[in-house]
Amino acid sequence: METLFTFFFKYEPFYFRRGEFTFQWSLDAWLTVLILLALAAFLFLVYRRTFLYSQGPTGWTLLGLRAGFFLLLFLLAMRPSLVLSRLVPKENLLAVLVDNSRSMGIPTETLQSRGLPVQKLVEKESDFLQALDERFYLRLFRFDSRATRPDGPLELDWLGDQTNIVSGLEGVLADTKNLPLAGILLFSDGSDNSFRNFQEVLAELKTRQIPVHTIGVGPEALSRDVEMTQVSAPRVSIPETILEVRITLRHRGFGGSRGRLEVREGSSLVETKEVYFPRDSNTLTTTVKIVPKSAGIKSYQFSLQPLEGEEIQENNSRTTIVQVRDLPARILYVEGHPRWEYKFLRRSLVEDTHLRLVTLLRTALNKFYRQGIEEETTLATGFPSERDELFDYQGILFGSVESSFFTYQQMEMVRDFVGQRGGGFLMLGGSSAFASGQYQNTPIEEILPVWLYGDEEEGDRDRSLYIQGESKLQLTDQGLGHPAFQLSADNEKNTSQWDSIPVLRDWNVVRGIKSGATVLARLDPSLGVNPDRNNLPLFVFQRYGRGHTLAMLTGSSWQWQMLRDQEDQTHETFWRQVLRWLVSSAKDPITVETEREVYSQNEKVQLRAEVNDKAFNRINDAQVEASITSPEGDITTLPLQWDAREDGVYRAEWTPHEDGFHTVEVTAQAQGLEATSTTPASTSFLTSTGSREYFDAFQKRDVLEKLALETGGNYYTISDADRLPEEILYTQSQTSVIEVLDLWDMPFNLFLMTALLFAEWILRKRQGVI
Amino acid sequence: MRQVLFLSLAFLTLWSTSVSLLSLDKPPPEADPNDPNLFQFVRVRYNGYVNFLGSQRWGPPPWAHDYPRAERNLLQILQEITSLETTSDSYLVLDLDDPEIMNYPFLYVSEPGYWNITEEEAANLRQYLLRGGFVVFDDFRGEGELKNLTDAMKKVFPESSFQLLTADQPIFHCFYDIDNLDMIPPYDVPGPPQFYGLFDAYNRLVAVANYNNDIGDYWEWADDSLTPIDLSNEAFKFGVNYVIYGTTH
Repeated sequence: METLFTFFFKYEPFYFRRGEFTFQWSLDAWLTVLILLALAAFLFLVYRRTFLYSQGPTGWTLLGLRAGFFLLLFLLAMRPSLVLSRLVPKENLLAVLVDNSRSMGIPTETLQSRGLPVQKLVEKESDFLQALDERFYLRLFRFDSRATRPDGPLELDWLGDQTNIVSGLEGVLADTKNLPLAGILLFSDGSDNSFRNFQEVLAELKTRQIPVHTIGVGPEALSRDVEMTQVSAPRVSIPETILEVRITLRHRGFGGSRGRLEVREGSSLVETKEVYFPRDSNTLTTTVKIVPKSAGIKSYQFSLQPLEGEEIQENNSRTTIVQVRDLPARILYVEGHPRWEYKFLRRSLVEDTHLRLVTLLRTALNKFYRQGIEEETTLATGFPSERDELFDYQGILFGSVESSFFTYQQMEMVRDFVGQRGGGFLMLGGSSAFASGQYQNTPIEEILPVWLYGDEEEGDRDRSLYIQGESKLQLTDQGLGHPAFQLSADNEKNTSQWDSIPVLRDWNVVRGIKSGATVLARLDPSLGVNPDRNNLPLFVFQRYGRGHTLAMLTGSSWQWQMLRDQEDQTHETFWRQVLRWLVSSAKDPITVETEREVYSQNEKVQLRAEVNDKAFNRINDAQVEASITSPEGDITTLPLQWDAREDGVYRAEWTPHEDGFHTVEVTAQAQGLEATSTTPASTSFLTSTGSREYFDAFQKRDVLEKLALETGGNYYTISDADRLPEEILYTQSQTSVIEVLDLWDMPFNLFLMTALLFAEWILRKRQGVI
Repeated sequence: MRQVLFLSLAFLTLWSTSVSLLSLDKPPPEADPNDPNLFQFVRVRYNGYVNFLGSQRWGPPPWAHDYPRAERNLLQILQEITSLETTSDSYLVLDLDDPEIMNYPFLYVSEPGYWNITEEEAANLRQYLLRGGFVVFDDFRGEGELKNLTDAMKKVFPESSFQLLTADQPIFHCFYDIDNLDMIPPYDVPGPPQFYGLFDAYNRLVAVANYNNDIGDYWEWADDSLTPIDLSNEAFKFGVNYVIYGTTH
């Protein structure tokens, strides 16, 4: 097709794409118009008789054909041409930048490695390099996490642990500073896994007018492969929590097959699961449950057993880290009157050493009974009235206690506890909870995931807001997958346990669900409690600020304890899971985190610490120091600098040089932090050689095309690479010259003129107008 | 003097029996299914009692002693003084082998000295206590009756035995601070009143027994002039603490 195009149009399509179409016609416009009018008059006079002989459509067609012929002749006389910028040979530098990461070494169906064709192109004295060398001064670079310019020929081993295109381009730009760089040839699969932003390097390339010509390597899609694309698990937890981990697998060529998923904690196999790859979708999302038994940093590897004929097996597994905390989470539970829900909630946690339930029970007017307190002074004056004291908890439960029990300031503090401190808030159902507790228009209603009925609304005065009767809970799909509702590590068992859950005996009625809230459970409509009350929500949650809130619109979960065999752990597990989830959003006053869990060696790790005092006021003038322990036990200390864009946030960068687990501990010193926990904030990350290179390991043509387009270059496939030495000469550069390519003598013009005359002749002959 | 005392006692016994019988004419109220979350005082009905004539037809059965005025008065006090959600009518009678008891985690057993526990009752009560239920035994005296109770509870809880409670137990301080357990019984008993407790494997108190005592009797006659108000008051303190303890522990 391209040959045919070149035959008719004299030049290859590339010239038409790159060149600017112009007429090399030097006469003024008015003179041109005059000539055109003269030409029209001449045509009219000469062909007037012919036209008169055959009036009607034939006459007009004949006139049109002849006019077209003369018009074409006129246009050719105007000398149509293409104007291109062409580099002067041997006056410019050209950088050849070759991806040397592991993904380039992945075998294909026909080749030992996908990078082999590139290796042949850039090997010493190859035709390709010679063709380039005739036109440019060459500089050869290879890159993985950074660019390297070897003294001799490029020696590609494809052992780089990262594809960092930005670093590669930056390396070339730095090496050719102040030199006339005509362009960069980038050989890569485009599978950048550095997460770096291209904006800065693109700006520099544009400023220096350096086009990047990209040559895509490797298949654009894998034909037979399964890849574990994502593993979502909580990063921080409490021992004995059932954690649901969501695993996403992308598969090609294995629809209808089965695979075996394995979960290892350290080196111990803790869970297996059979998965089925659907035929109608390339994505499979499944969940597995893990239960960290003890405190510490736990590494979980999720891997799919290799399938027969898989192209890449290294992308079948991923590792995630869960920091299992030793300190018990403190939860404050305020209850308005002694009731079974209170008793059995407390009882459910009796064996749980990781949750400390501190309860304040009003046993009579102005008489309180405290349980679970650490010191005699705890809650001695009732519900906390100072932020320091309240924010020392990670979760707050309101039982059946009316809003007038609290001051407005206390309710505002609870709101800030959730929104600013990131704590969890749960309101239990009861005769004095929700609307029955008059929480309408209070700061508590603001954080609740449900809207409450208010007295002011017409028709609501007589509405019963607290119903007592037998009913059953039905989980929604969201509820079944929610961490708070995991009764068993086995999915099927979990579902059957919820299906057979004993009845409830009460529920609170709400006006509606807030936008952004999620209904986790409803009243089972099959019981037909009351036609207009079917589908009433029972469990609703929402995020609020940094924390989250749960509305549990019943106070009779204690039935799940008394109506089940004494060995049944449903009630205990339910409350452990709910409360563990509740406190999961609460962070310590001083925290540190990395943006990811897994890094490559020599990849920069960004540390972000947040420093608050005990009342969770952000501290900007702290001395913050990180202590990083490598897998070998080497300790590095480095200061973190305050990030002026964010209050209380401190940052630092660090580059690991060993594979394995690194632990980061951060301490902060400042005025006002004395009372804050002395335990350092900690996190951990894993450094793993090359593993990331096998993920998303197909050619990202869109990335390469966009990079070329943005910089004025072109995208080529590896098979088109032989055209490249000539084509890249036509590049706009500081040293390029203008080249004009005439188009008047294109064979197509002759063909067109002949066609017009021939058509006219045929028509004349048929009509007898000769 | 002794004769006068004997006659008085006989009269009182007859009168109280007739009152109880009259009360029993009214069937025990059913648990209100629409109001299950209120605190319900559940009295246990058991078989096995044979009166001295070898018949059950004469006199109220021991499980019903003090019924229903005892619970009505205690519930009234609970409603008035504490924030417990209940009413003076929130009481009912259930058999021990009735699965319905699982809906009411507080039981009251009167005259356990006459309790002839069946296998079904023992199994049900064991489940009840291990699930979180709480039982109060009251109105029994003498070593024979104590033995009857401990033997019965051995069938329920073979791994545990009643232990003598001291005043420092939380049950005596969860609402009222009862620092002295030297209580005066409502009538002559073979020995000083004592309080026994049964603990589960987690050392949680699951049952309390008022030995050589009849606290329910004080509750029953609290609105009468038969017992000094101070003593009734003390009895209510125990009753309130038992209920508060049962709903909080």
